[in-house]
Formats: sequence, C-alpha cells, structure tokens
Amino acid sequence: MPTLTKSKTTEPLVSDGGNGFDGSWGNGDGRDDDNQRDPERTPPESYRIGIRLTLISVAMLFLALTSGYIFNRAKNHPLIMPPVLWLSTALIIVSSGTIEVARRALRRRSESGFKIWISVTMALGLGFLASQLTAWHYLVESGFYINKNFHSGYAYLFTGLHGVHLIGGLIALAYVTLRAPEKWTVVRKRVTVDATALYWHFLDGLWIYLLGLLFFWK
Amino acid sequence: MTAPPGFIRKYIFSLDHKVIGVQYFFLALAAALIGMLMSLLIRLRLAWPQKRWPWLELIFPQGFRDGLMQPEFYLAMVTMHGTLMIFMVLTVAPQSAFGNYFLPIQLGTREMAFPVINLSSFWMTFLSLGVLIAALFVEGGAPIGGWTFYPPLSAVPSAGPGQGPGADLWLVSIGIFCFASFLGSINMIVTTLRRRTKGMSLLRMPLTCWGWFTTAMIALLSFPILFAAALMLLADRHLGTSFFNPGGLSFSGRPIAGDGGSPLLWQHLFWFFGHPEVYLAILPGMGVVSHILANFARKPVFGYRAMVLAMLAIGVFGFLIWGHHMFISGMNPRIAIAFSMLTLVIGVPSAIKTFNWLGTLWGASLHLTTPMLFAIGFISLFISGGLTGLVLGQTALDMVFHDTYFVTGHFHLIMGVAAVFGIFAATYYWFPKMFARMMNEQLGKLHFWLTFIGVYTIFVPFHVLGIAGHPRRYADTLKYEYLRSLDSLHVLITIAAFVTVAAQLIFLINFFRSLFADQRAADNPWDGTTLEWFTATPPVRDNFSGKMPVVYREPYEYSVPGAARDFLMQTEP
Repeated sequence: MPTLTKSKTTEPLVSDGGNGFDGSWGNGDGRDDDNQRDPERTPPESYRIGIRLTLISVAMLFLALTSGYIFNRAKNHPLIMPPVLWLSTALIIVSSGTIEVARRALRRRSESGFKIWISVTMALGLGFLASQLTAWHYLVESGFYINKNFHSGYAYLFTGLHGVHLIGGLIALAYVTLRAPEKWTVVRKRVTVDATALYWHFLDGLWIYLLGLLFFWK
Repeated sequence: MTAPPGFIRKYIFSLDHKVIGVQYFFLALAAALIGMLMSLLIRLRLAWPQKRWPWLELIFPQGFRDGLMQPEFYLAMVTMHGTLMIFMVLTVAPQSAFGNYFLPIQLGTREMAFPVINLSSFWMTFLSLGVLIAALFVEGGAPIGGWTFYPPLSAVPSAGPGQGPGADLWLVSIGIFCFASFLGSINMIVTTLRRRTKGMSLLRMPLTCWGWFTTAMIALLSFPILFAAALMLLADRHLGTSFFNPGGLSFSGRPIAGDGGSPLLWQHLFWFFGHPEVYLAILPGMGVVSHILANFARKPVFGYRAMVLAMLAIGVFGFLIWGHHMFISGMNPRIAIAFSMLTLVIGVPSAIKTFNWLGTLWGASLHLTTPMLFAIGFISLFISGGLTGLVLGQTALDMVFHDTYFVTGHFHLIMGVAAVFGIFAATYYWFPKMFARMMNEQLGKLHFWLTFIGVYTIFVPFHVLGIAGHPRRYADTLKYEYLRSLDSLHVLITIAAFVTVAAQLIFLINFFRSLFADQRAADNPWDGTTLEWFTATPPVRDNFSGKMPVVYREPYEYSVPGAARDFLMQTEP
C-alpha cells in the first residue's frame, strides 16, 4: 500500500480567512471525501465540524445545570465570591490570547513560536486550575460547603464541570505539543490546533458566563 | 507493507466500523436476552402474585423468601428491564449497530470519520453495560424506582433495598452511557456531512442514512441533559445537596436531610432527555422500514423528500413535548395545553410517514420476504402504538391514564415491538451482507408470525387493563377489589409472553445456524439499489476495494420505465 508522503515543502499554504473552515458542508462533488489510502486517517475538515458539535453538546450540559439553577432559585441564597476568582478570570482570558498567538504562529510555520506560546497557555491553564482549587478552599473555609445551600451547591457543580472540561483541554494541548512532527501532516496538525483553540476559547467564554451567573446575577 | 493485524486488533479493539457495528449488535442482543428474562419474571409475579417458586429462590435467595417473589425484587426487575431495553437495546441496536456498520458503506466511503472515537465509544458502552449488570450483584441488589428513577426515592440511599450501591451503579452506568452516546453521535453527524462519495448529495442518501443522521442530532442535544441530572442526583445522594429533595421527608420515622429541592426538577430534566430518547429509538427503524419497503415492493419510496422533512420535524418537535409525561404533576393548565397540542402535532409528520409507507406499498408487486414482513409489521405496530399516543397526549384523558397500564401498553407497542421489529427487519435484511449467508426463510416467517400475533396478544390487553384503572409498577394488584376480576387477563398476557419469548428462540437458532451455513450469499440477494449491495460480501476492510463508487442516481430507482431490469443501482450512469 502506498504511504502518504508528508513532505512539508509541498503542502500548500491555505489562505482561508483565519481558521481554515471553508464553509462547505459537502455537496457530494467528491472534493470533500477522504480519498486517502489509509482508511484509518481522518480528513481535516471533519475536525472542524466535530469540535463545533462537541461545543454544542457541552453547551447543552451547562444549559441543563442553568435551568436547574433557575428552577431551584439558587441565586436567592447567599454566596461569597472568593477574590482569587478575579485571578482565575485574568488567567483564562490571557490564556485565550496566548493560544491564539500560538495558533497563528503555527499558521505562519513558526514551530518554535508555536511551542513557546502553547506552553505558556498550558501553564496559564494549570494556573487557572490551581486558582480554582484555591477558590474552593476559600469557600470551604468560609463555611460554603457544597451542601450549604443551592447557590453553593451549583457553584461547585458548575466550576467542577468546567474544570474537568479544562483538564480535557489541557490534555489536548499536551497532545498537540508533544506529538512528533513526523507523525502527522502539517495541515492535520494545524486543523487540530484550530479545533483545540476553539474549544479553549469556548471554555473561556463559558467561564465568563459562569462568573456572571453565579456571582453577578442577583 | 504492514503486518496483518492480530486477533485482538482485528476483532476486539478494531477500528473497522463494521466490526464495531457487529460488536454493538451482540451487545444489544445480550442485553435483550437478559431484559426478556426479566420481563418473564415480571409476568410471573403479575399473573400469580402469591405463588411460590422454590427453584427461583435457588437463583435469587434474597429476591424470593420461601419461594415468594418479594415486591422489591419485582420492582428491581421492572427497573432493570426498562433500563436495559431502552438504553442497551433500543438506543444501541438500531443506531450504533446498524448505523456504524452501514452508514459509511451507504455513503460510499471507506470508514467513519473518527475511527478511534468509534472504538472508544463501543468499549465505553460495554463498560456501561457491565456497571449496570453489576447493580444486580451488589448488596441490596438493583434499584427499584423504575427506569425513570424519580427522587425522592432515588435520592435517598437508605430508602430501600437496591437504592444504595445498586442505585449508584445505575447512575454511573448511565453517566458512562451518556458520554459514549455523545461520542457516537459526533461520529455519525460528521461522517454524514463530510464522507459522502462523488455524486452522493444529501438528497440522494438512502432514508436509513437520514434516520441515523437525525437520531445522532437528537442524541447530541439530549444526552447531556441526562448526564447533568445524573450528576446532580449523585450529589444529592452523597454530597448532601438537595437539588431534588424537598424538606421534611422521613423514612420509617427517621428524618432525611434535605431542604427546598424539587422532585419536579428531576422530572423536567429527565423527560427533556427522555422524550427525544424515544424518537432516538424509533427513527432509525423508520429509515430501515422505508428502505426495505422500497426494496421488496420494487417501487421508490413514496414521497422521499416528505419522508426526510418528516424525520427532521419529528426530531425538532420531539424536544418540545416532554411535559406530556408530567401532566398530573400539577402544572399550569395553559402549559399543559401547549404540551398537549404540540404532542398531537407530532402526529402529523408521523402520519405523513405512515401514509407514505402505505403509498409505497400501494399498487406494488410485493415480495413478502421475512424482512418485508417485519417492515410491514412495523407499520401496523407503529399505527397501533401511535394512535394510543394521541390518546395519551390529551391532558384530560391522561389524567385518567397516567401511571396505568394504558401507558405501558402504548410504549410497549411502539418501542417494545415496533422499534424491535425494525431491528429484526434490519437483521434479516442485512444478514446476507454482514455474514455472507442467507437466514432461513421458513424459520424467519415462522418467527415473524408467532411474534406478530404474540405481541398483539400481550399488549392489547394492557390497554384494557389501563382503561380499567390498573396501576403501573404494583407488585400485587390482586389484593385490590376492583382489580381482582382482571387476573385472567394477567394470566393470558403471561402465557402469551412466554410463548412469544419462546418464539424468539426460533430467531436465535436461525441466526446462529445461518452464521455457519455452507451456502454463501450473493452480493446482492435482494436486488437492492443502494451502495451496500455494490460491495463484496462481506465488505472488505475499506468497503470498496480502493475504487470509491460514483453515484449517479436516486436511492430507490426500482421499476424505472424503460430500464432493462426492475432496479437500477445508484452506481449505474
């Protein structure tokens, strides 16, 4: 079976307005099909749609909890906001910025730039998780256990689920950074990074939403 | 050249969508057999509540005291029967088993979009089944609150046998299942959108593909809700939250912690998932029925585009009607009117599909093979079950029928039989392609008739019971005066159930014997037009031996005037 050549010099630079999605849902003209030799490889466009579908599903999960939050009238119960959450917010917003820088560096073929900024993003992500744990600790110390009232209960569930999804994002980032360049094509790597970056931006936006829902909606 | 894959890589941890499809199929089959045995135990109790079964006590020492089936055991069987059948059979077999196997082939591509995710999804489902079965073996046994798992009963671990570790395992199993389904749905949607061969536009896809596609979209949106609910319930059970626990409860005199929560919240979350779930169970079957009807009526499906739109409409409207499971919860009557009207509105696309099936059959020269019989049987059962759904969708009537056997009769006809007939039809139809052998036609017909008559004999009396006011999930109804005269119906149903389950042995014998038959099947034994009949039998690893098919035609070009044969394959220019 002939193997796919992975020559970097012959890969065309895709000029596609930012994240590569050409807007095509496929119309059966054969251009969108995998006509590759190896049945166990995935063409890049699938990743773009796949990640958007994932985000829809994750959004439904948080929507379900939000509806519970409203139904249980959680905001009427007291809850304090751990001040470290401002740091969390800053960390995740900056990490969205750094992942964007990393993504664009990769697009410009700057492998070293990509590696540096992805590592910064991962560090910021880990910092975010650490600050979340600090926030939890603060809440516990202040007597706001998960079962103190609805507001605290939902706070732990929301931030916990968000954190778990963030850990998933960190694993994706590690994978994208550490996988040897010769194991995948430039285009495939780029699309994977695009997908991970979108996921990361989503988690950032989700965090802002959760902050607002839990602490600013009175 | 890479070395050929070893046994484990080829059959256990395979990335081949066909192998994964077959794995899902056998998972569903195993779950169905266990679920059927549980249903027989349920029937034993209902027909003869005070009878002693010493030999059953040997198998279930705690479920049977002095040979008498304990009510908790009965309820555990009810719960596990429902859970196994709805999740592990009806959500798995039509969508994950046949969908994974045939979607790529019918689209003309070599593999699903994400093979590794496909593999993970199956093994996660397998794990989920294992955890669910484990609930039968922990202290206290399986949970007893019904597959709907309503709190406060389900939120209090000490509330009864099975509500302890058994309920936790149930919740964990469901959580894993939700995640596995989510992964599977991503795969199906992306494959349908991005992996169609040249010439296969969306409106040239077989209706089976539309069924799987719509179902995947439903799964994507509904399973996260169940996951959230299960997470919150686990928190209520073990972390002291009270999302679902109102205050002031006590159990056997002991007060239960919890304050201010709402059992209604669980119902809303559960049914917001639960109603789309039932459409998830039936839509692939609808696609398969359309597909098979066209094949054996030698006619195109009547109103292909309407069929597509109807499926999409059912998918959309299915999300708007969850409240009809909660009519007696004391909801605002205006909201009830909205839910009721929307429930009846779903009858419209369903009716469109039914009339189009009849239109496909009208004037056709029917080849009444076993898959065709099951497909026509599906229509009959869908009409029966669907009509009683319209009855239940009316709030005033549901006030009487909620939690009676009328509801049980309704959903068994439509899920427990129509959807299952869809699975049988698909099995008989695609068996030659999957396993390169034909199933025995005589045994198949015998299986069909016994099952068809059997299920009507079982489930029509359910409606009679329901109208008489017979409640659901009661371990012993014969101690109530007004129900005592119904015991002969219970005996009839139970005998019919045993006969019908026995008839399934015919299917099993046919299935397993045919697997090892000598005579190989042809590539296109049914003279079908769609791409799965274009492949080798069984299909090779990349489905089309390196030559991706080009599609020139609509999917159901049967009996085209002027054509040399009575069918034109999609690949013929």
